[in-house]
Amino acid sequence: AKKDLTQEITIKSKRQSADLKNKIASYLDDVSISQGTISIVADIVQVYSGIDSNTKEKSDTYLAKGQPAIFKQALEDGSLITLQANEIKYQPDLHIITVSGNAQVKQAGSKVTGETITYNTLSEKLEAISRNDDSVTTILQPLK
Amino acid sequence: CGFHLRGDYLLSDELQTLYVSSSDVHGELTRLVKQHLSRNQVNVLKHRNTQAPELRIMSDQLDRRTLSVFENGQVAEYELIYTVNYQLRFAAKDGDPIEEPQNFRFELNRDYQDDPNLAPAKSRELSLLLSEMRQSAADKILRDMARIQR
Amino acid sequence: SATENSETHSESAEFTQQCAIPVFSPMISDAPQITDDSINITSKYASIEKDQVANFNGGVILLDKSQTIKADQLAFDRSLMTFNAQGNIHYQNQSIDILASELYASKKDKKSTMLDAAYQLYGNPGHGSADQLEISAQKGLSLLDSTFTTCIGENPDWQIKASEIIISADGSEGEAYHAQVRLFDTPILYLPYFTFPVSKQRKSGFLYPKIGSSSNSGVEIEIPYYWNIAPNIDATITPHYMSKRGTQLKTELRYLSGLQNGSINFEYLNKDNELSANSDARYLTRFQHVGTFSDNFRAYVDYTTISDDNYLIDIGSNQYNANDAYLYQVGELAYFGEQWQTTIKLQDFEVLGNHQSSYKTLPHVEISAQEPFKLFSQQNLSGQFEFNSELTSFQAQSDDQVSANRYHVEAGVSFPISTPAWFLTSEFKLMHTYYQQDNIQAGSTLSETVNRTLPKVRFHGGINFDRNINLFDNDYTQTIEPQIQYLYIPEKNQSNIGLYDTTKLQDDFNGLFRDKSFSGLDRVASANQYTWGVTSRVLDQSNLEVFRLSIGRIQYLSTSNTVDALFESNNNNLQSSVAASLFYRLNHKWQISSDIQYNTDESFTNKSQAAVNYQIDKYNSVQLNHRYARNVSDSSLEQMSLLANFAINKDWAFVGRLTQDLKEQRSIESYLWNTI
Repeated sequence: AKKDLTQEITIKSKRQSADLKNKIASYLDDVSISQGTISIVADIVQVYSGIDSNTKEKSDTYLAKGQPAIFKQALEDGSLITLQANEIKYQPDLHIITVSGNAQVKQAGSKVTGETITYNTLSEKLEAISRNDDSVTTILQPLK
Repeated sequence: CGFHLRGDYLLSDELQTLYVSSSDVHGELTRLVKQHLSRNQVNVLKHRNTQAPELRIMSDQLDRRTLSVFENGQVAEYELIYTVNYQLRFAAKDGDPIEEPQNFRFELNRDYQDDPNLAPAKSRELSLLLSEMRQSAADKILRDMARIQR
Repeated sequence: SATENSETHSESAEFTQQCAIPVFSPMISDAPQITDDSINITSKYASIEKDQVANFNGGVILLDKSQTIKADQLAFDRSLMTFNAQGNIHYQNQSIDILASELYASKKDKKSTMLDAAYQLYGNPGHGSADQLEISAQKGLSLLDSTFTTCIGENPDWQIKASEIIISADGSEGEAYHAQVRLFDTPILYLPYFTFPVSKQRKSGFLYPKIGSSSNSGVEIEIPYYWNIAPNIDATITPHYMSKRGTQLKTELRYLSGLQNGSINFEYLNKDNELSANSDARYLTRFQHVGTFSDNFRAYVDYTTISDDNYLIDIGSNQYNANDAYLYQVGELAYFGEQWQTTIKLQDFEVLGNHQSSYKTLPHVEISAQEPFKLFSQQNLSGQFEFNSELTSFQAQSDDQVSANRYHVEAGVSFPISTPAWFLTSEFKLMHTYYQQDNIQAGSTLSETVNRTLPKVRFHGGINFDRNINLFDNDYTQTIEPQIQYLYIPEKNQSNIGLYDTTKLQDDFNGLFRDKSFSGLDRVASANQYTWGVTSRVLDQSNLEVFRLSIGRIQYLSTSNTVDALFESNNNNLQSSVAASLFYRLNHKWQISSDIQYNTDESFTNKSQAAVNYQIDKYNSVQLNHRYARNVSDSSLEQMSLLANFAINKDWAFVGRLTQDLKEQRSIESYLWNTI
């Protein structure tokens, strides 16, 4: 939820490496990141710290890869959203998560699978688009 | 030149005992079928039971088609078309559900010369022809059953 | 026993158009089977906001437990559990298939509404269109400003247009409000409200109308109404409009109870406009009943009355053939015990046309019994005592006719041995008949009382030979079945007995091995003869006769020299005509059959017929036949006939018979019924 972004980010992993020149920090093997109710589990996470061109604010980009990499967050109404895919791109300052590579988003009342899915953590809106001939599959559960 | 006496109608051993049912229980065809079966050593049961196969005479119907007419347009000769529909349901193997019956249908034809001046006599002749057709129908059912597999 | 259900297919059986029942295939073949209440949607694009409002577009396919929906776009609101879709909607559940432009559905109250829809029922020819269509679990299908028909094709021949049509949830009954019945797009009937059958279940309502025309009655329209009175009783009431004659009412009532069933048919035309001479009603009623009760009893009734002799030719009926010469009036009650049976029968005929009036048999009682016995106990040769008796009282219908009571007994012993390979039936019978005849006209040879006692000895045997043969590389069984019979009945002058139910039987091949050459009992032909005959058949693997040739003849060992109207004087030649019959089924479409009785002594043909039959399909066939009979009701007859019953196209059928009388070079009758 919104207050997650004010929380502190902690990152755990077996190995770390840093590429100071390109400002890329890499965490490898059983990486887990958490910030408030947000948690990311993946095999490898690269953090690109950059400056947002127009707001001049610090804006990092987390790029997680795994078989699959998993992102979890609690929504306003307390229910959980889980995004998993081969690759997860999380831009906290833009409130955007993009998952691609047999991506799947599970919520209390729905499960969406497709090639690429983007989720806005602020508006809690997800959009899935399919490329060429595959298609997006959505399974909706009746309201309990 | 290869001819040999016709062997017994070796009804498959599943058909040695069976129940014969019909919508017209005492109809002539049903009685003749029961008679033909017992003459060929088949044990015809009195009451139906699912362990025994059932031969059901569904219908036997006589239709007439005009072949030739008198000058005044009334029918001189008919073709008698005797149609028989029957069903054979094998006994349910223990545990299996009752089997789907197999349906059979055949027709026998005979010519028949009518004469409106002799209605009682001609109707007596018609009954005789009908009985003879039913005899060969009962025989055909028996010969067909000898070839039916489950 | 008496003639049983010998009702006839009327020669003018209309070829009712059978609209093939379309069955649509499921939209998605490999759809996942959904058993829970979840909804599975595939699309090119999907978006869900706050897990509540979802939007899909691009080839959207929605699948749930009971239905499948295709659309261009679809919006779903999870909180209200409603969705609506736009663009090329294709909706399908197990009982209906719909194309529409818009759809709004609410899962909560289980209702879907579609706009400008075209629908097709499943497993039922019913289809049509509707401006607004609603499917709901309770109310079924309701169509506003809609049409319903069961005939395929862009412009179906008939359809129902109504402000509202409701088809019940179980899909059996249809209701129409402010309905027009339209025929070729012209409204012919307006009904504020009426119901019609939708499924095959027996449901009261209108059946498909029949339209046709014939030379006898002009344009004919029948609109049958089926009334499902009770599970075991129903009625069909058919107003039958004939442009030349007026409107006839045909009703058929059918009933069924236990092992008894029967029907009452009543056809009534108040006034026949075609007849100027008289104006009384023309009708036909027929009561039929067959049934078994309390195990051993059997009842059979077939009684018909008719207003006038030409009813069948002028108006026709689906009870009888237009050319039938007499109608049955018979009632029979029979008891079947283990060893003996008895039948009581009352019989008369409604003879059409000015023919010799026939005898009423009131009553005719038969009693027969059999008692098997073992011969020389250890052998399994079993014989059978047989006893058959008949008591018949013939009542004359005109005062110059003789009437009579006849008591006949035939008792004796027979040894029926039959195995598949061979059979031998030997019979030793004694026949005794006692007549009481009265109203004998002056100068006739009949006598008041007559006693006739005749023994009968008969041996009839046959052997069946089989062999497997291979023709055109498939396997057949060929049989050769020689038969031989010896029959002895001493000669007795019977000219003092009247003729009540006796006439000469046809002497075709089947008649060769009978023990009588006359029907009935008033004449017992003398016989000291043996009959030989042989039949060869070719049967395919499923026992279907593909070819059959039979030939046989009777050899007389002594000649009968009694002079009698009925005895064809075989003026002491020593053998009967040769009787032969041929049947050949080329394939399931073409069949050839031919019979002949040829008198070799005086080298003329007694009777012959040859027919080529082409079976187009189950209902349609064409037969060309040539028939010659040297003596039919003491006149000779040679005719070539073309019998046809085939559909010209989906709407028109030719049902008719062209008979060319070769003797007098004129066509006796051609009969045409075209129907839509």
